[in-house]
Amino acid sequence: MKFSYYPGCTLHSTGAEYDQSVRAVCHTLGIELVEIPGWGCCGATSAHSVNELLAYALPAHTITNATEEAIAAPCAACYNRLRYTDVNLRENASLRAEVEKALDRPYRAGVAVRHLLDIIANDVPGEEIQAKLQGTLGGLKVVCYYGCLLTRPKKVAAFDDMEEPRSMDRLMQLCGAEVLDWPHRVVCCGAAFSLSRTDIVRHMTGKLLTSALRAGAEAVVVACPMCQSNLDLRQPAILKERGVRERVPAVYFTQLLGLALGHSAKALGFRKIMVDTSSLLARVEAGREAPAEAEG
Amino acid sequence: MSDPPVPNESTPAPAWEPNIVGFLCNWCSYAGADLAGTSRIPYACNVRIIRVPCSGRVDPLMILRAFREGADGVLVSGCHPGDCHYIEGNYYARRKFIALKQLLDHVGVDPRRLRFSWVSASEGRKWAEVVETVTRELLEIGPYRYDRDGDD
Amino acid sequence: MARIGVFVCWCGANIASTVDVESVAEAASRLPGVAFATDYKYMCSDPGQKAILEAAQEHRLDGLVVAACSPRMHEPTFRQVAAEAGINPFRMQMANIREHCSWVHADREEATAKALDAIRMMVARVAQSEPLEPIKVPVTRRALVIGGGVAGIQAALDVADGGVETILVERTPSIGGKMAGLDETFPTLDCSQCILTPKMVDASRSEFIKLYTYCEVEKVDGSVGNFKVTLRKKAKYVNHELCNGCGDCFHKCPYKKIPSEFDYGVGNRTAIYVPFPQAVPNKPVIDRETCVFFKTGKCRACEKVCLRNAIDFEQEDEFEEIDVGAIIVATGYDILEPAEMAEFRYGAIPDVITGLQFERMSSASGPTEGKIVRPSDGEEPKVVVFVHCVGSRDENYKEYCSKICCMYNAKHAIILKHRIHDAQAYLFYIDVRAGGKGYEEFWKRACVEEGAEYLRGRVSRLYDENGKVIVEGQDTLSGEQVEVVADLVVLATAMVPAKGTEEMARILGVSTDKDGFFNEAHPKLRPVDTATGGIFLAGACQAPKDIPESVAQGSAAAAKALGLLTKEEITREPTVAVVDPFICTGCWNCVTVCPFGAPEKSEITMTIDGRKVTRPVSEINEGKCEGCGLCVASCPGNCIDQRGFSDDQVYAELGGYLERLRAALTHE
Repeated sequence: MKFSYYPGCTLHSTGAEYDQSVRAVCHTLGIELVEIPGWGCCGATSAHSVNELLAYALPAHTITNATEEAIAAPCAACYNRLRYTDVNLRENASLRAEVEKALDRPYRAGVAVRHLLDIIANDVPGEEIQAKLQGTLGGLKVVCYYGCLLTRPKKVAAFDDMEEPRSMDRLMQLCGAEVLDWPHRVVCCGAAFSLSRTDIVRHMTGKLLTSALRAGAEAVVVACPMCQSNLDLRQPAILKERGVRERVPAVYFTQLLGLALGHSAKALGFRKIMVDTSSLLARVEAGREAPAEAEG
Repeated sequence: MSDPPVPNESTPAPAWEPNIVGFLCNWCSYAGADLAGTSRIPYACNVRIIRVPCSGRVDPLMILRAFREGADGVLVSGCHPGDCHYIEGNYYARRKFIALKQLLDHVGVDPRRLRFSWVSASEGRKWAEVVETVTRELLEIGPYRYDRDGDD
Repeated sequence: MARIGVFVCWCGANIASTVDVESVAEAASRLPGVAFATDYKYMCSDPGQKAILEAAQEHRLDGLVVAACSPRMHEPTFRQVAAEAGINPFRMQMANIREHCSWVHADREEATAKALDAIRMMVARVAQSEPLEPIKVPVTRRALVIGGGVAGIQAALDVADGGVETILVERTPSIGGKMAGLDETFPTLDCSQCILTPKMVDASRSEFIKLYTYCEVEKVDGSVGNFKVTLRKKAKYVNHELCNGCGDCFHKCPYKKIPSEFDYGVGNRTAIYVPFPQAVPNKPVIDRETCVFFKTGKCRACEKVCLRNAIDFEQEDEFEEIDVGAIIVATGYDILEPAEMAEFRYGAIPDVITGLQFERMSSASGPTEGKIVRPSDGEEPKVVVFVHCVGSRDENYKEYCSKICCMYNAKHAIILKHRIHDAQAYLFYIDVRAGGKGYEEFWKRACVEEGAEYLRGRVSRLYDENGKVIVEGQDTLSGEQVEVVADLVVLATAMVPAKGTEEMARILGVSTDKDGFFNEAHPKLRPVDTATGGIFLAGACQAPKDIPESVAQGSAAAAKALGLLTKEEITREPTVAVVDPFICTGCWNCVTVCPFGAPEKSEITMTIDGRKVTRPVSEINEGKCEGCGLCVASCPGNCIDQRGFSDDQVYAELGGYLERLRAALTHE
């Protein structure tokens, strides 16, 4: 499997550990990633609230630069913007003409835009992953958090159920985690207001964190660097504000998968996570010593 | 009025317009074309409509006759699969025309000249789009005489 | 040579502004076979029709072409005119120069040319048209009503009132339908059962109504006036002739925890059961799926206790064939299973229920005897959230409006306040749609007098927290996100066609719309008919409807059926297929392709070279032929033709156009 890799701005900065773990996991699973030459920002949540043409032109530029037949995007926001652009440019000829004028070259329609979770959970056969496991997550209690952009809207992002996605759940179960049910798997963390209205972000992210803790989670598994930074960086302040003592680290699904595949915590960038992950890592370490459990 | 093509010329004269015969089933497509009218959706003037009870009523010979006697394209339009007023007439029609298309190639008619479409009674816009598409495509293909009179 | 009259309509400016009607009429008058042509402002008007009659007489016309609107609009009108003019109605054709021409083309020259082509084609067709006489078929004076909800009951009562025998078929053990389970009804708050049960009893007592409960329609053959219907009378395992409905059996049934279908799982029933106390007939059936005896071969408690020996475990499904002249379909609706919409966590949170479950709880004869409680702990809820448009008006589920939810949510809010005075209702809505007599006043009452809090916005998610249901939504009027901590959440889920509607459509040979509801023949002018003659629709099987509308349509369908059934014979379109027995070889291809079973295997005896020869031929049953022409186009020997759509007519019509093209080519 070979994909054009679109890390997006975040994976080169605040989400560097996501980038590290993505590359590590893909290497092990035999997914070849070719970084898109000259990729640009996807416009994220800002562009489309300012200028519609810009919001289409930015992702169109990146898609057109792709060298492979399909793009793998690890960031949910990038994924959503790219898909949104692709779906609309395919459907709307006049919009496409406008965008092509802005790009000054034809748009490359036909490139499949995929989220990395979709690829790993749905393209790589479960048995293949299982065969490569070097241990298990030792029954680590996790909640899977997909966020609001990964599966919605239905027309744009359709690789899993819009309201009750399960692909990450299945993947984590495969790795030996105990996946807990919780009602907030697709509820927004408020990332769009990260800088402008932090009160909203604290409110929304706070709900997620308390819900995850109530469910008994030892980790919130994420697939988006925006979600991760909200859940991680703001966590101490938010939970303190709510008078909650417990903490729950927000880790990327590729980090946990990476651990199960035998990569070291260091190689997967666990150091970059602000909330203490030592007990999580200790749990996994214990699981690794008893790999037989996973098969039972 | 559409001008006839000028014979013995390799490209169609610019004023040439395709002449298209449309066989429309009474229940869906004819009603869909009516709806395009009541909704005032404009479309190309090239199709002459023949109302038949069901697309299944259309005999392949009718289509061949149309080509033989001067039509540049034939459009058969029926109810959507599963919606046939007569339960399954449109399925028979579809099968028949898939076979006919292959035959057309054999007898020297560009199979693209025969189009089969599903237009329901509620799809006035779709009817207009079908006519537009068929007309545009036939403009590209050119007059049927070229199939007939062309070398080999 | 034919003497055809061509009449070009202006339709005011509708045609005349785009088509040069005068020059079209002038050109038409020179077409071969045309004896007279003219144009007039409104051909369908009285003076327009008179002009046709006069011209027909003056010019001794034997065929008509009316170039006007779509034949789907005015064909019956002008056929009638033709008949009055002494011209066979099937020698009248309409050239559609409005819907297919003037309304869709702007260029006057192009539109005029197309209009003339249309006339040319129709003139050629009329010249080839044989005069036809309508087919007369005797009518079976009996009606079948499928579905015993309020629409079906009303239809059956009204048909019976006309003195026509009616068979009312209901697949559950009792008639009454959804309405029998409702509490009070909007906007008058009269009790549903109080107004429905007398009708149910009337239906069971009427000398003209035969009630078949626990019975399904298996097969429908035949056509308008003469349907043959096979019914499957499901085994009840109780002999209703012997049973007196005492109820001893279900009191003794040891298996008591089966979720009741009638109560939508809010209450339970036994394995031998009557769905509700006011059921008609008020006699039990045994549910084979849940009865212990059928599972283990032991128990027979009901049999032991029955003094009349009515229990009969040996019963089997029985089939009965009935002849009817008309069918009224009233199969009703179901609600969209809310579990399909994960955001509402229905099923995961016990205190999230549907509107119909709320009805059963608030109904005085329901499982909680009218007490509104939380299913999780039986406590009285103090904060109740009602969610409108659950799955309706939602591009992810059903795009349409389910129509009744606005009103029943208002009703629920009022009932809640009446039963639990200190309770607070919150209603999340998109718009309040209250078109109906007394409806606007009713929801205003909920809002103003009963203190229901209306929040204009959708609910994004429900989840449970400390025994409460957290409802997250938005209030678009204040622009705020809102969160309501509720004790109970009631979902107004979308109305969908009843389970089995698709199968029923297949059995009946009628079509359904994109949402699976039965299709009416015309959305405005024939809302009760289906496209198949003799089959009519009533109630929510056609589209979401409330009680008054369902009842009205039930009566309307009855009127339609009576109109048909009070005739001695009916006339059918003569546009049927005909076999030429002299060339038919009996290959039975037509028998295979015909969806209606019209071609029948027959024999012909003829004398060839002085010898008598008997050989197989196909023969069309005109009563069954729907006139699709499929057999005509599929006959390998070209032995079948269709009256009114004959090959000659179609080729003539085609030729009318192609000759013009050929002429143009030669002209070069």
